[in-house]
Amino acid sequence: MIEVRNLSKHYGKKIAVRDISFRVEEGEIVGFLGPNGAGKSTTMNMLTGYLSSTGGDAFIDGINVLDNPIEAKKKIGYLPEHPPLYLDMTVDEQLNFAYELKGVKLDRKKHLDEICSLVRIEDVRGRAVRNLSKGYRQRVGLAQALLGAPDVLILDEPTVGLDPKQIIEIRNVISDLGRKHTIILSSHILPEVSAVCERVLVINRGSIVADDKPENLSYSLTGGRKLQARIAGPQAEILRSVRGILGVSSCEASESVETGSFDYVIESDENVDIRKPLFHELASKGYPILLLKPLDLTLEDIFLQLTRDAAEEGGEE
Amino acid sequence: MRAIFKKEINQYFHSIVGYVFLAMFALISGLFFTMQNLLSQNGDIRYFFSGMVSVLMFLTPILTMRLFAEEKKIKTDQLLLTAPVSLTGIVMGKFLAAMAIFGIGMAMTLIYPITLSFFGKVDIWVTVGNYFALAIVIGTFIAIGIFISALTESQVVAAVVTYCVLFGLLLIGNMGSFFNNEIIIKALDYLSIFNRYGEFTIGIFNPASALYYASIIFLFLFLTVQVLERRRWN
Repeated sequence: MIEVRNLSKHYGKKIAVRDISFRVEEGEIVGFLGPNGAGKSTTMNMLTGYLSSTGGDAFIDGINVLDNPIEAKKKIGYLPEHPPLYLDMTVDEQLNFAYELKGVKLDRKKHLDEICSLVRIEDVRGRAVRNLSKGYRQRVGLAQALLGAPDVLILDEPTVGLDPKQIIEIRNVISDLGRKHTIILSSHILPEVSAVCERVLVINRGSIVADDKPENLSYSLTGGRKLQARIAGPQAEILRSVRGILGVSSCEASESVETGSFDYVIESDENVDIRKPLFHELASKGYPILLLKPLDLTLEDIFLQLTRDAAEEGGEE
Repeated sequence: MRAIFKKEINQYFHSIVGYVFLAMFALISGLFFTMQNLLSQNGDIRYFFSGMVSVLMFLTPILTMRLFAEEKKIKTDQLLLTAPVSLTGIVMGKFLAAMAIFGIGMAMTLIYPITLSFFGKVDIWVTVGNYFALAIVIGTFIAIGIFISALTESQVVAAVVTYCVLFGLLLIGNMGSFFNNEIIIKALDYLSIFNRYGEFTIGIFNPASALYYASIIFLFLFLTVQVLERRRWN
């Protein structure tokens, strides 16, 4: 649905986006993850035809955005970082203008009603945009992007500046939309991407440093599996027993949280599930397991690790 | 283009701008009519029109200053430029909207020649010529104003620069008499958008002058499109 080939953007000598390529299939929800200034917005602006590229091509449903911008733009709904709304218009006027601007040919009243109820702005339709809170403006922006039921939705930081309740609402809306639309959304808030997206492109300094499912990203970086366990009993004895189990590659004690027990980080070889052997071993010795949980890297860890790796490898700039 | 046109017209009347422009237009044109025709008991409509151009020169920036500067400032240009419309369509929509507001003002002044016609003989073609001349000169002012508005994010800067440019063009037109050099006089004559205006006001339709104004309008609208296009590359 979306294909990007060797896309670059230079601002004078500064390279904002460096030769990136990726594909997004129909119906996918893909997250752009990166710190501020990584090139997320620039990439989105190029995809939507707002900015030109210095090199490379972008295709929306097979249509080259550079060669045939008007046709390509018909297939895109775009919510930029700052929702582009006229402060002196009412919500209805804004949406009607966008409806006409995009040349939508659906039953206007029905279409607007549907979208307004989807993003829950029915009760503010008569109010001036100027008087709306940030959360409502964001939703009006989203409604505007949805006009004409475009195949592709490009959402730049859709939840920024919203309160936690609104964030959850917007996330749910996006997840629902994902059934009918192909979506790219960007964020520098990591849990958000993992909550909504099936796939994550991590962008740092204008390059894609990772492209995978959120859970795979975590797995591939840890190499094997890590478990966190809280076991009651003497530390030295337990360490010896656990290290003796087949498949355990390391076991380190961390701090003591509950009296009489210690926390351990147990790492196993790849593709080995050590939970059952661990249970039997410790049960036979009479050391109860109080807590056992997989220790996945959080997206924060992943992100720091990826961007650190990139910095070490590249060593440029 | 139609959507943009409608939006601009709406915005002129949502804000105070449209009303201010029309009120000033009515006030100034009324003042001119009263002074040039009523008080001086003159039935010649040309006296009314003679002063209008230099006054409208100062009113035009009110119409054009916001057109692109504000879009850029509040980032609504992102909506326009990512919508399936051409840059030409956007620029034309805005140009025609400003022209339409000016047209409303013009329509209000129709009452003056009609009034005069009750008391004397009003030359239809001179009147038509004057309206045409005013429209085409204001068209060039608006095109220049739109171009300048596209260069900046600030409405104030757009307005001030537009004033200065239009005023400069007015001065240039009067500078020709200070030079002896044939080429300089000719060049100044081409640069001054006011000099060709006179012919129309006495009822002479000179196609060359009409083409001159049309090409200036075209030039500045074209340059505006280029500015918007260029901005995508920076």
